Amino acid sequence: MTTQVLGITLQPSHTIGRAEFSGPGFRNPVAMARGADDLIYVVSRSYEYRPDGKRVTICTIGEDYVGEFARGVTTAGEGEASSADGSLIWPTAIALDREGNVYVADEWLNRISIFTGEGAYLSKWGTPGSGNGEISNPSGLAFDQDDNLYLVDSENHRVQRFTWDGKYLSQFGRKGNGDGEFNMPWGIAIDRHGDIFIADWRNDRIQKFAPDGRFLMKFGTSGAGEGELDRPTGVAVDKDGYIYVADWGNDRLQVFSARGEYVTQTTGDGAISKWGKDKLDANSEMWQERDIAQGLERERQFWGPVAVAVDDDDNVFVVESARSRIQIYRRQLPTFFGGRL
Amino acid sequence: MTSIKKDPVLVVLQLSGGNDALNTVVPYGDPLYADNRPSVRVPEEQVLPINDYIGLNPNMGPMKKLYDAGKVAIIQGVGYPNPNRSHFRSMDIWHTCEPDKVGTEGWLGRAIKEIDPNAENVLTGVNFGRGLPRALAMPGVPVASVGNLASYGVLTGIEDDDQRVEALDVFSRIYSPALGRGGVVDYLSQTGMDALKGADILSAAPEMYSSSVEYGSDTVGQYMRNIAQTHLAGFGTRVLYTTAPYNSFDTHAGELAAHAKLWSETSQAIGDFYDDLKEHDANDNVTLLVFTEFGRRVHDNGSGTDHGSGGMAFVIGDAVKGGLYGEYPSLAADKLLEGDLHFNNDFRSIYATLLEKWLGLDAKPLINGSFEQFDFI
Amino acid sequence: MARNDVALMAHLMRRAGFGAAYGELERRAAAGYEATVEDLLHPERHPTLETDILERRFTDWKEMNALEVNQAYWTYRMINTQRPLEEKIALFWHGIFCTGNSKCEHGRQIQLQIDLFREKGLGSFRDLLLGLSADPAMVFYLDNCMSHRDAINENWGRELLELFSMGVGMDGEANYSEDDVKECARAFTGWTITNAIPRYPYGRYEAGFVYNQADHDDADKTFLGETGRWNGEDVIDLIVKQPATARFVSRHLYNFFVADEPQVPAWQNTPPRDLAAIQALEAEYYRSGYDIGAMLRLLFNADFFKDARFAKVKSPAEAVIGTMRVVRDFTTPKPGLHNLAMNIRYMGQDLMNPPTVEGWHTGGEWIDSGTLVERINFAADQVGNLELPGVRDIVERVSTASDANDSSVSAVSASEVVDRCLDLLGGYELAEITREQLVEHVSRGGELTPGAADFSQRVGQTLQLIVSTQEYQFA
Repeated sequence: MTTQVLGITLQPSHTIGRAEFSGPGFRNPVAMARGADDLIYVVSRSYEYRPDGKRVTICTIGEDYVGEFARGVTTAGEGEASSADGSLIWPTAIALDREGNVYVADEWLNRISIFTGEGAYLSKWGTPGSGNGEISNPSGLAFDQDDNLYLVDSENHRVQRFTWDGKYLSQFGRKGNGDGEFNMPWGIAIDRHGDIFIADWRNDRIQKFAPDGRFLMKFGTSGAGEGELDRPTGVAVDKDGYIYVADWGNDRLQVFSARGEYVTQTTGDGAISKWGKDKLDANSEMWQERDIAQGLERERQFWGPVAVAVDDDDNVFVVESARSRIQIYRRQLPTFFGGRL
Repeated sequence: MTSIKKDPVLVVLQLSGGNDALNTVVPYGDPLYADNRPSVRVPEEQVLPINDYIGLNPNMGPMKKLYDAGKVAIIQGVGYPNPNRSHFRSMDIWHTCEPDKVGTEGWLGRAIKEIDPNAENVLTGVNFGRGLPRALAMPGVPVASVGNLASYGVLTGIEDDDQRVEALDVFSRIYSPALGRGGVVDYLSQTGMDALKGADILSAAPEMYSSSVEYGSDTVGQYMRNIAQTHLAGFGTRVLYTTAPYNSFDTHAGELAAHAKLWSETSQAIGDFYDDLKEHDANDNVTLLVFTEFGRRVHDNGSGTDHGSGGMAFVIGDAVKGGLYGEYPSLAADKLLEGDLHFNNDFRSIYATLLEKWLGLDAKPLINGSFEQFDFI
Repeated sequence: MARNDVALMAHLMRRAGFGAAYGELERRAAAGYEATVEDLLHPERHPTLETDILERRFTDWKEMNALEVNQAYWTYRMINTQRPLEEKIALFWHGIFCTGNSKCEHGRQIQLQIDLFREKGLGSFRDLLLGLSADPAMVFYLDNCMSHRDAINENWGRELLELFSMGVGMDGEANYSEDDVKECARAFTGWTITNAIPRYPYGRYEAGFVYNQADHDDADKTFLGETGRWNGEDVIDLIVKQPATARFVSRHLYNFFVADEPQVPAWQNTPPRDLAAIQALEAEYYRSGYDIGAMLRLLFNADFFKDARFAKVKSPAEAVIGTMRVVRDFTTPKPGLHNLAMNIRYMGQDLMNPPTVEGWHTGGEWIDSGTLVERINFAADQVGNLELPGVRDIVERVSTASDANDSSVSAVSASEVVDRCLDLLGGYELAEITREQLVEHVSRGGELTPGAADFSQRVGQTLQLIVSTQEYQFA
């Protein structure tokens, strides 16, 4: 019997962001999380010599700027990032707990920093190492329904589960390319059943696990064809089980069915954001330069799509590290729900 | 020749990144200011008024005090033809006075060469910061670049004092030019001894210094303190230079908060510097130039301002006739130059004034041409 | 392993690469000198760096937007490459075919030009010039995009002849006329680039090369005495066969890889330091069909090269990278790379942002009192850091120096320590009077016993003094 993959389509909605070291905008963003109402939290990694650009930006889906926190600057030396409490050096991942507190992973400091939803620093945890509960280059964070935190422990090639305050609970995975083994995994997502999806970065595949760490399935092989992956960095699962993969090396987003079958892909539909328009208005000759620019269609394309998120309102977010923006799609099901023609 | 102590001294503070002229000397009396700055505007009621049209940024209290005492010349509408909005290129133009081709010699490097043609004093010019700004570059002109005055020198990485003294002793014997080994090695030996000598002299400056003035801990504050220390030590240094940290004035975003902090620190540092010199009765032969490579866009971008042209400069000191120089460029849309304030004073006029009227040098060959001079000195 | 073989290998690796730690020198010396030359000339035999992991850790390297990001990237490449000559030849061409960030303001676009040098830098000089003529950063930097059929801009046409291929003159004679410059510029009309997408709001986009036939002056031109409807490619074919080009390329190779020559503008009237060597390189240029790799094969295997140890002042890039490859820090991605890379700038070489199209003045002109202090302090800080694996390795090797193997002699003599340190840093040689100063300094501290509490520290101090010498500033 042949199975029919039920398609979805991705309808471009709008683009948010612009390249900035502070204020409205992002600089080499690497991760995002949905907050309450229409808030999103975006982690910018910036350049090493511009630690002021390392931060978490709070804004709305409609691109209203709310604020920023966790800026990694020190007065110790020009261009040197700070490791003081609440600042960032190599941030990688972000997740919100049930109360709306914000957890940010830093893969250089091997540290999880916790902030309130408004950005006030609360606490930190994290011990470098390879033993139980020790971490090495944390790169993905996700809370399960019990508010336990799954952490992708990248250089230890495993996933560990912690309480919110860092007490070790369990782990699964080890280095390798067999089922349930990892090679420098990166992103993580947990679906409504509590199953766990891991972007197994250097194995060019996605793996799915039961909440207890039992291997369930995998999909993806190295390549650039449909359903193939080149260093997948981010993964997200929607309420209907569709799996969204940030196919970083191929500069595209791919969508898979719950069974891991290829559904669709996009290479980007970037448009001028609200903040971007402000920027162009302030530099109005750039509007004219755009009129004569050649290859302007390149502006649509993803460059470094590093993270993907979905929410229950059918929004799909793609974070682009090299374009300092987030492209937002609307997920559309082909199902006919009745009503008039 | 007057005594070394009373030779005129020029101090230059470079505000890297492009200081926003409109939010520094604020045209609060012009409704076009508010129109163009819906988001990035200094509130009218906070401005420190100079007249009913313009006023200083509220964070420039110490500079306002100096202005009121008649010691600050504000040069408005400073720029050069065909403005370049690249940090690198525009700064190069300010440094080399070569707007049309790329130059390698700096205007102050040339000035130092005039002041001390045979490089008899290795400290005639001193820069505070790592790496030499092109303004001071000139073949055959030794200019020390001091990252940290307290720890400046050769082999500073050797922490144990006794060991370092021993190592420096070996160093000075190895580099002794008397060894005469020929060619490039001799040149290296001479250069090494110059460096050692300069460092030896400079390292004495903090020890000789005491003051009731406490500078801020920010980079500009500390470097202005170093400049005061060096000046007060009486090494015969005539040109001292420093730079605000890497492009810190580049306020594309979050400008109001960032700019407030920058000017609060910078203005405080300038006020402290003046007070410090005055406390030591060493203020009358020092003039300070504060400049930036360009102004910023007239219209804000919602959070900050982007690269523009048409900037402001300040010349500060006892020898300075305070006041406003040049006209404040119009904000009217038809008077703008590609969306920027239209300059009405060439920056080389400031240089010409400082070189001729202050340092007593023939400016023309140093700045590649003749430019009208101001009356601020 | 004969001590001199390792020292000669150190010389080769300093010139054809950025130096190497002692263990690598021993391995390469064991493989043989000529075999190593071949190995260096075939970078494709060795893997590239793993871009995926680098872009994961240095997230900004995909965009490669700013000058400083590019400098950090190139610094990392030079330290860690397994293809040293690929990076060295790129640095060589970058010093000649200068393109500066101060005008281009697009880090990535210049990095793509450096990639061109990596890819074609060891091949045919004709292909390289052709690639350069169509390189968007260069087309923009030297204004060829502003040169039109009806209004030529001579900038590119002039520099192609003066700085990039023939030089103003040789043996006291001019190599070309002002008319040749104009004709050259005419031939390149229509060689232009796409109009850029503005950098706001999402950052920069690569420019593309475009040949615009409609803006090309297709009429007859007389260039270097030959008449035809020359286009840019024809002009390059005419250039590369000129004796002046053979001379100019040979002198540049000699100046960069063998021994410091006077600055380039003096070449018209100053004969080569070693005319026989230049003539051998010129002959190989023609024999091989303008092949740079073939010329370097001849050069590295020639006695004039082997005899030219320490005949060059290190460039700042060589000074920094050479030290890093010995102390072996930054062999994996970590914060601090930016500050490390800035040392090259502080020493006077702002990579990818040369002061002018003429590039940097080299040799003794690298040194002034400011840059010398930067060099000495940088190198001393590195070799004095006993935590670094390369420094630990040197201490370990000194502690097992030959006379320490004799169980009846537990201490290493001061002169042995100095000599071993010189060898281990890469076969350095000091003037006898300097060496005596160092030995005396070391012996003043008393016996040096491996395993003693102060042993590592005193070896570290010896290394610090060695890198402070005039001799260490030479490659």
